[in-house]
Amino acid sequence: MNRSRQIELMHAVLDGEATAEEGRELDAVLASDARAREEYEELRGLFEGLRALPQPFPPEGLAASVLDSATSLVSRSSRPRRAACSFPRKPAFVPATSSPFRARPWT
Amino acid sequence: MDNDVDQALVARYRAGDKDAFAELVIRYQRPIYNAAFWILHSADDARDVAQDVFLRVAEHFDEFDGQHRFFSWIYRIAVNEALNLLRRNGHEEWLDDEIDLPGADTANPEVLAGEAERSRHIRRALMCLSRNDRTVLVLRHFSECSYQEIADILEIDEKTVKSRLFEARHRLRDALKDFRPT
Repeated sequence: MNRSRQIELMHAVLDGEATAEEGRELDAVLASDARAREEYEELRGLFEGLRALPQPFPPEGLAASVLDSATSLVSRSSRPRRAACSFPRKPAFVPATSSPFRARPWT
Repeated sequence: MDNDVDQALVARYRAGDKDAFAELVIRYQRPIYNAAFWILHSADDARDVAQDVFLRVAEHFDEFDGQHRFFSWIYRIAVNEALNLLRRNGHEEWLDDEIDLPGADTANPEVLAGEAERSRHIRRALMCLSRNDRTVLVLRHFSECSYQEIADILEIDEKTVKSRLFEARHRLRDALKDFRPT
């Protein structure tokens, strides 16, 4: 198996896009090729690093702000379907006062 | 995202149930904000983009083709809005280290410091990439889209998605080497 096929398999396996047969194909390569193992571990580390990055949360009140704006948008519309449509009233938008990241798990 | 749930909400909204739109907003606010944040690396810009995305969805709902996935449609709008804002702002690269990260789930200060440093390196390296590289990585690693979903969102074929991901990761690894402590 050439290098480019090996690399392609590594990405596919780590992306969860490889077939079972491709997974076995890669296992066989990793079992016999130290350089491929090193390459795979480095790539796996990159995936882990990206996965571990904290994910931000939207500011409080974003949905309420959107729905308020959508209500205005719809009421301005001249089209009958939209003119007849009004969104439920929500509390006014409250801007975020702190970091978009919160110290709670990503669920 | 479960396409059946999306389809049911879309059908309800089209049938005149206004609450269905609110449910779509609540359902998608976090993933859309999140994708915009990582493309733009700005909390304020991500909030603006997320708001604009939902307003565009409301305004152009009639144009949504129910044969396609709502997920792909709204993400496509989000990616385009975020990239347009980047172009307007003239920001190709961001090195904003001012945004706080949440603490890791450990009481060990050395582990915390190590993780924060590693996270900072990855974020800085990400922001050094081109917007196209960053976008494909964001969709795969943060939005957890499949190759096919990324292809639908970016309107490219799956083979191109694979190749873009491969090249973006290669450049990310190179950029990380630049930030590695000596």
